[in-house]
Amino acid sequence: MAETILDTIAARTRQRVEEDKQAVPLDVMRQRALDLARAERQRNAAAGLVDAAGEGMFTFPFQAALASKGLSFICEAKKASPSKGVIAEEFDPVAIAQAYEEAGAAAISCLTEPYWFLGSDRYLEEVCAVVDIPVLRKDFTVDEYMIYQAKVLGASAVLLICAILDDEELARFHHIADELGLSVLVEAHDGEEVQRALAAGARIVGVNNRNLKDFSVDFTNATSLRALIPEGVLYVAESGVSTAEDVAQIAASGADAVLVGEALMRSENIPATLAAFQRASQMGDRSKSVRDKTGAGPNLSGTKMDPSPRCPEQIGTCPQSVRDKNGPVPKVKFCGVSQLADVEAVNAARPDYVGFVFWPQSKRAVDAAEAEALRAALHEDIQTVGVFVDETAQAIADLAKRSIISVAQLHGSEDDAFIQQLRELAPGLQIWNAFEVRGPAHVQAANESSADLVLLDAGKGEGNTFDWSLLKALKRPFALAGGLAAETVATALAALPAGILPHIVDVSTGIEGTTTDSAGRPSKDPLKMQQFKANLERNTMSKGRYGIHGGQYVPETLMNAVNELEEAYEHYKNDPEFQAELTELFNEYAGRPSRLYFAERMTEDLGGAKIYLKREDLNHTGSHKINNVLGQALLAKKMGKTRLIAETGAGQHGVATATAAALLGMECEVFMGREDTERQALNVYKMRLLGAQVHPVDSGTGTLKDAVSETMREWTNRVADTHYCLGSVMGPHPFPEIVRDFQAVISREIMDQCMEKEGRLPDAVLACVGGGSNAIGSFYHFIDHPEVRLIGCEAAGRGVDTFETAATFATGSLGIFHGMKSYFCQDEYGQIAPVYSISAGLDYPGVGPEHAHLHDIGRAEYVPITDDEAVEAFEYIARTEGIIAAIESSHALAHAMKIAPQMDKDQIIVVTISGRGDKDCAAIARYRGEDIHE
Amino acid sequence: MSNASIRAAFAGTKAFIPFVTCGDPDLATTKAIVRGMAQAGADIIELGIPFSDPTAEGPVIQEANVRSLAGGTDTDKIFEMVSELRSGSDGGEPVSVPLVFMTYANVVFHYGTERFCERAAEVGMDGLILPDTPFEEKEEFARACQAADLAFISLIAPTSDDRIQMIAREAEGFIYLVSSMGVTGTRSEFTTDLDSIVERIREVSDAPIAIGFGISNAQQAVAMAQKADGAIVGSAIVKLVAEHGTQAAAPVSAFVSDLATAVHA
Repeated sequence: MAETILDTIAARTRQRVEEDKQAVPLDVMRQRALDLARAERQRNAAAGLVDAAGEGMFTFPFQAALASKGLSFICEAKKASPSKGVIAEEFDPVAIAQAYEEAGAAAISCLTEPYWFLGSDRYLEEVCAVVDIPVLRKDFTVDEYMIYQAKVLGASAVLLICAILDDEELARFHHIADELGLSVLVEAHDGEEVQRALAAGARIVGVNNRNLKDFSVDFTNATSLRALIPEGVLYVAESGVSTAEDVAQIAASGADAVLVGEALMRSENIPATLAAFQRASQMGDRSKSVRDKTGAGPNLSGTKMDPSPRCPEQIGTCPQSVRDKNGPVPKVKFCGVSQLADVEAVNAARPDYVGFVFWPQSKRAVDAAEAEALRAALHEDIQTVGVFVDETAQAIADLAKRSIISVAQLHGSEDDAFIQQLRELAPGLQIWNAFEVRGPAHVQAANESSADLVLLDAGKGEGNTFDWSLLKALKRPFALAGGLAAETVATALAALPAGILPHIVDVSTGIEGTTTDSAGRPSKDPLKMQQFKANLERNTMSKGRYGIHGGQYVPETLMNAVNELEEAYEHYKNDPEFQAELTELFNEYAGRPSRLYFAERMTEDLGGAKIYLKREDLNHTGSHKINNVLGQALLAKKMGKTRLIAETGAGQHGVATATAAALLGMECEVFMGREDTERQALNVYKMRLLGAQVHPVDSGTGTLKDAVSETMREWTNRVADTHYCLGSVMGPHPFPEIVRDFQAVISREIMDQCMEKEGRLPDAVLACVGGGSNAIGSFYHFIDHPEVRLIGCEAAGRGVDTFETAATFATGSLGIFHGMKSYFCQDEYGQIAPVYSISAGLDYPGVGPEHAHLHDIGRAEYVPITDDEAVEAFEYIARTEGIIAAIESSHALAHAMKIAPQMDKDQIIVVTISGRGDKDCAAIARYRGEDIHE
Repeated sequence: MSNASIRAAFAGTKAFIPFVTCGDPDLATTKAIVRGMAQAGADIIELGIPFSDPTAEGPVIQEANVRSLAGGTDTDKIFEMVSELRSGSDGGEPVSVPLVFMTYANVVFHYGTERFCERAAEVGMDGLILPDTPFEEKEEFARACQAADLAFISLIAPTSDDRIQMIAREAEGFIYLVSSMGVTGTRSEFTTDLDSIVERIREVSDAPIAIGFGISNAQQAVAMAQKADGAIVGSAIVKLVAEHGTQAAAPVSAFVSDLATAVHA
């Protein structure tokens, strides 16, 4: 193997260590480090930080800093690098580190490598002495000596690079660092190295976008490797970050921290650059802010590529970018407060901000003296905002100096130069810039403004005078103003594009009464102010929302039951014992993990993308349904329920529920449309064989939707000892979440298996969609990987232009049914339409709320597949691969057959075979005119 | 004021509240039934707008929904019917007792919640009951009701427990207290401790309380009205309609008269 630059540096570093050992021998250095570590533990013990054995614990500040909410920034001080040469001629590491700390860095990385990076141990020592945030010793650690040295120099963390250490060294060095209370950033470049890092016990893995073997940058590398990092291990993106867009992309990929060096070293204004990066990260990291970032504690599993199912340990800690549940409540600004008489009521309503309008033409104008009196009377927690139209910077700065305002909100033609001037005159004053959004150019201007926050004005009067979808292009936090009122604030926020929420809502006219003061200025209405805040908070009260979809539309009789279920689930999903039991059931009983099979003959025949089949049909009971059922049955049992009830369409979910009930010793009753009991007589027999009672449902159309309705009715009738084991990602919250989490094992396995076989993620994942449980399970872990296309295939029956269809996305509209807001096939009066498909499992007039949301935000595509196309695919896969797939899954295969030939040979498609097709053989034969009966 | 007219129906008397599914078997029959109920002493009348999949109903009302929809009933035709009942523009006696709709969230939502509420108020309705819309989801409906001056009537169930007072505090019109578990339909006995629920409601709300679900005869109606402020009877009436079809007005009127007299006594 040719010697790389990395090998050269490593060799030189070994030599350096030997020189250092001459000065301070290893034993001495080790002892110093150990003494420091002991002292640290004693201090921590005194502060009450003790472990189970009563010993003082380390706090691992570097790791803790990275684990804090949002994308954390590790800012690097370096004078030079081999790829860029000298970056900073006048290099003052202490001043730089202080600037970083002030600007909000989570940690500092200090180069100590002296020959290529012109670093020094002295720099590290000096930096550690002056900053309070943790410092990483950035060096090419090749000897344990360097770890002891790092401790003695005052560092909180060291770097271990997989490419220059063997497995034994990685593990041993990591252990030494652990014993010293030093965090370890383990750097990897590819999947194999990530695996090695995890095996060595890494709790912080850094992926270097720069290939240190030849110093080329491969920026997409980090994103695909992200998939390999398990929950509980922190992920740091290193190198190659130069723009805010880079940061946004890294944040969106789910990184916990980013290491930024050169971009900051070259910046003329470190705080401004870092602030811009931080803003960009807030736009990009919505996925992460709700993720559980508990990086503390040891790694959960040393072998990430272990193909055992991941679901239990993943439940509830999966990426949740598309979930809005319990979204933050925006802060509130009451604008145009002008009278002391209103202050008491304003204080009672306690907005976060109060605005004073200093524009003389305004009918709410105040002067400095009035504002000063108002400020003094307002509660100290309320921040005051001065609203200006082309005021002089000096006048604004004076108000700030007198502490009358802490924010300036600019509405005139103030430009960046003015903002700069104002910053200089009034350091510490927050500056907000207002924009009326009339088109993409205004959004662009808002993005580019150097203000701390932009305020988007929807215009005067009622109603949405701007196109909310424009906000998708906005890349920074914003305040929303214009036309808001207590009655409309909830709807206005709900109308925003999914996942976009203002940081602040600004209301003025909407909280005013009908009276004015002697100067003709309108007074604020106490009740309206209270209502505004209450309605805003209430907007986030409805649970289980996916954008506008989801919710809990069930009779009051069931509300405590769904609440109890939610509570139990929240508890057990984090209970290791529960997870262990479920893993055991998945592995030993259901036969997980299911295979990811390369369909070579199909691939060759279609002549395009490589096609892999995710074989959920090989699970016990022959479909993906068992994943959800085992989870729910176990949960129900833990909750003390003794009876399971379930709906079923084709009978797959009924059989799975009856199976779980038999296994766990529970009673089971299954509701099945009369028509389906006849279409699927064999499954009815199986359920009875397994000890379940089957109730044919005659109401309505006698199909799946009526079975759901009837099961809900039965649940209202007997809820105390009964759990409704709902079979799809639908119904009232928490069902869509619970079922999704139990099914998410599918995408977790696909991800691992695809990385293992192909070293990268697939280009597209396809699954059939009825309610959508196998599809959401197949999509879930890819949602945060926008490069993976997600395609749901719904049943078009005899065609979307006929009435005999079940294609909800193609033909449905927004509605409320079966406990959720989502899309449904319905008539003009909201009566649920009878639907048709050859597949009993897709024969449902609605779709789960998370799919509806993925559709709305364009993250997943949904395509209709006709009976004819599905039957052809059913026959094709049997002939080509020797697999009899369920007619439901054949809908997904049909679409794969359409798109694979148009894709490149190096692209990858994964199709989930959700179930086996034995149950469908007779019906397909009849479809083809053969008179076969079971 | 809708709230006021509903409250007035409970003033000085126990209220008897019958229910009928609109358009079962046709709207002309429903009109005759409603007029008959009003004359027979009903204090408030609940008008069911049929829904294809009424998940809170037992078989009796489910079937009435099917019959009504099969006959071509739709929401606009029901608004028209109410308008005629109120005005007497169809030549019949104008009806003045408070009228409240009972239907499912999707019927209202899909029509356009604001549009539905405005139209309902315009034709003379006083309130709206949505059995599949619990407290947490009521906001978008209650807001539109409020704007149109309709009472959004909340339900409290035997399982409500710690939710009772939260719901009662925001109650409008009257409180619909569900007598027992399960869906609508007649019952021979009631096992829920309704007294303690009523007591807890009274602690935080002065809204009248009417008990419904399962009441099928005068004796039960009186017993339930005694526990609270009124009794609601649905399935027993719908059963009569199923039996007598287009000739149902007279037997329903006689039945309502019996129960109303008993409850008022």
